[in-house]
Amino acid sequence: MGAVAESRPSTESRSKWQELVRNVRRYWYCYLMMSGTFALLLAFAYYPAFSAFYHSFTNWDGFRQPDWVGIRNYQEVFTSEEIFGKGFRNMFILAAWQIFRSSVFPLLGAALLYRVKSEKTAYFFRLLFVLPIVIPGLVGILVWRQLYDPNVGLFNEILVGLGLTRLAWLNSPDTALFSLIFMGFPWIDGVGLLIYLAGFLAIPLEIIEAAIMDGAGTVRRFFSMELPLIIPQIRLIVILNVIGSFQNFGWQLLVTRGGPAGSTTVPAWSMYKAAMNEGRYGVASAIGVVLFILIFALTLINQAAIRSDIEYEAH
Amino acid sequence: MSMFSMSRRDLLKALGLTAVGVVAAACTPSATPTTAPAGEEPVETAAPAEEVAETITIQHWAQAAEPTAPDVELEPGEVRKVAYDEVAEAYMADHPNVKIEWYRFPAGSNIDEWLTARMTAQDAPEIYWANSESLWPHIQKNWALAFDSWAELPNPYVSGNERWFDQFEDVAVISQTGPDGKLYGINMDGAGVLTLYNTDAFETAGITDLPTTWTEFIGACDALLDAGFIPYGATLAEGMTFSHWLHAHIYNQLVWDTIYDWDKDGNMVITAKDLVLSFEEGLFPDWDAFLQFAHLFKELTPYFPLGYEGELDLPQLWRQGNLAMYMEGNWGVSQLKNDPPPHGFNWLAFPVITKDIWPAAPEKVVRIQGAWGAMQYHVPGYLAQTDPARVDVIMDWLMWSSVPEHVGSICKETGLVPLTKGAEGLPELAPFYEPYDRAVPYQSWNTMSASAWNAECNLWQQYLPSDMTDDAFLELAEETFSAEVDKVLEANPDWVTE
Repeated sequence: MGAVAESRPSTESRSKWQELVRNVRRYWYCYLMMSGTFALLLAFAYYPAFSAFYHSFTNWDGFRQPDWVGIRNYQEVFTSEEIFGKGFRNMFILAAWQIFRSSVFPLLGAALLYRVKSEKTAYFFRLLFVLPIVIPGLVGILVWRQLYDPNVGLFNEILVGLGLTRLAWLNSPDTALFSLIFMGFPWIDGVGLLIYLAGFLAIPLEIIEAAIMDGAGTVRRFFSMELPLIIPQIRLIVILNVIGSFQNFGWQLLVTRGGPAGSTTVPAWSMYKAAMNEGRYGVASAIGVVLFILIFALTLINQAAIRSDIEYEAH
Repeated sequence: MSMFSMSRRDLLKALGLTAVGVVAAACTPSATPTTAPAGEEPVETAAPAEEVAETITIQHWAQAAEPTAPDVELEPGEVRKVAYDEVAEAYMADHPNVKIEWYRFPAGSNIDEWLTARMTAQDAPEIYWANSESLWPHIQKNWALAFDSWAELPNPYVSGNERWFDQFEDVAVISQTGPDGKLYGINMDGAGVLTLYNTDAFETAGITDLPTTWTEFIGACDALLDAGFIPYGATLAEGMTFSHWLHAHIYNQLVWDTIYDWDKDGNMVITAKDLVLSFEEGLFPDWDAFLQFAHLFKELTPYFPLGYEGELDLPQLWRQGNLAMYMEGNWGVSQLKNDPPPHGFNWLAFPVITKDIWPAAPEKVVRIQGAWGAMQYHVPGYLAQTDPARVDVIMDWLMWSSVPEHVGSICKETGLVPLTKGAEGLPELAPFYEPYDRAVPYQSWNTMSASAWNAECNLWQQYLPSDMTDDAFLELAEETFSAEVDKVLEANPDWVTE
């Protein structure tokens, strides 16, 4: 696969084209059936993206004709303390944490589950970890908000019971970001766990048995064999969480509204506010474009950086 | 024998063609009447309500005045609201070709997002609610139809009425006046804000005389704090009304004599445009008064609940008996009646700032009492081009709705405060009818824009818990406010060139 393709004669290119045309003619009904999906994809995925790129250079309230303003919106994004200063800083902190927590804790959970010998026990624990998926995330967020309530929340009641001072948690600039990070404890995401578990289960048993016969212990096997073999799953989880964490503003919308004093604001929240609350779609589009470029770049880096020499195809 | 003689390939071809046909049919736009481009003024028509042969359905989002939906299960103690239904049924009995439907606003939806979607699609309800502070951005987008032609007509349903809008209190009419001087809606009720207090807590704290001045109020807060209560509810999260209301109550007292200097067009309404023009002339804000407001705000912070910098559920805290006082609007009365808290309660006016605190203080009682009620109704601007005959019917229905007896019945049921002359409200709202010296014509930076409101909340979140010096605070406040003015001018460059 690493060999450089030699240049081919032009007759081979023409035959490839002819083959394509022949296939389209033969299976026209398949392409016709797919055309609806592509049309919807163009209309609802690609068109809005290109529209956002265009409108990022305009002053637009979402309703009237946009006015071209050049790079003014981008200037505002990169000079704004709220969007660039606090927003990007918080976003990178939350994203780094999100990547860490989605990579480590479900992985540990999957690794433990993989080692459970009894099938019934394994099934029971797998169900236990996965069941919370069916609960809407919103419910979880609201429950945590109640736990964090500074005046009547459970956490402060525990602190008072231990003789400590109450904290404002989400309501103080000093503790709000940490409180957001702590939400979701013990951070074992059911979907991530299943993806990792599938990776572990795809490892050929012969390799594991051979390693055991050679005297490799549990920890050695995990780091030297199992981890490299589930690199594709890790890469997938990291990519999904990079994209998700950069785009996510659910906590801000439901819990903190980016405050207090901008301590939990992220660019995606500023984008939402600019569009929906302030009617400044041009600025919102500019933030969206910047986030897109950032996510795209990080995805490419992720693809290049996280790889293993040993990758088996699933059976 | 198989019913289908088609091969699998033929069947797939047929399915493919059918699927494409369905998608194509769904995506084909229906014929739409021509409409004026956004930004152009709609053409007003003032024809009297004509009988139209076919049934006209009017969707009306009545907001808090709406009757309870028939399929809703009531909470314990909750009373089914029927007053507006009765008003509508009487109207429909006299106008068999008109059907009034209650538009139920989607729960949890954001009004701005909803309006943008509905106005873009031109399928908004024929009558919708919007707060008067949103007026000028809506007018710019042709979301609100001008009412002037109909406002001058007599209301045929009110005996002796010669001009429809003479039925309403001045503040109701003023609130619906746009920057161009035209009327863009109707306002049948208003909203008032007072301080709701726990009478049991006051008794426990030994407070026998209600505080009327700022100094007395601080004294009462001290007594409540000593008695183990959280004296005063506050929450500074963006979108929460606390700082907005406090700004209105305190700052208006400090700038009493100069506030109407900001009224550049002289219509007794302080609009976003007035504020921007006043800022350009250096008249607004009065930074000395704003600094004094900041000091008074900070003086209150020891009496706020823990975590006041963020979002708190003040009604919950108050009902639990932890919180002694918090600002609430008259709309809370219905719930208090239906589901009384486990302690006594009453209403308290905001304390008066005395001259020893601010020498220029007029020592007058201000009240947030204005036209921010549930019965603020607007009509989509595009209807003037797309369906002018329907507009006449809509106005006729609104004239019927605004009959004082009808407004009174709705207000008594819902706890709203009528701004329609001759309409009576709930006796429990008597504190809201008590005399005061001035209803605040300006509330906070929110008057300028939603973004400015968020910026002001952010400013207080930074200042109040900190040791920021006065100079640092003023520098931050001026920088913040100036940036917000720039945003408003960006959307309205013609304001400063007129």
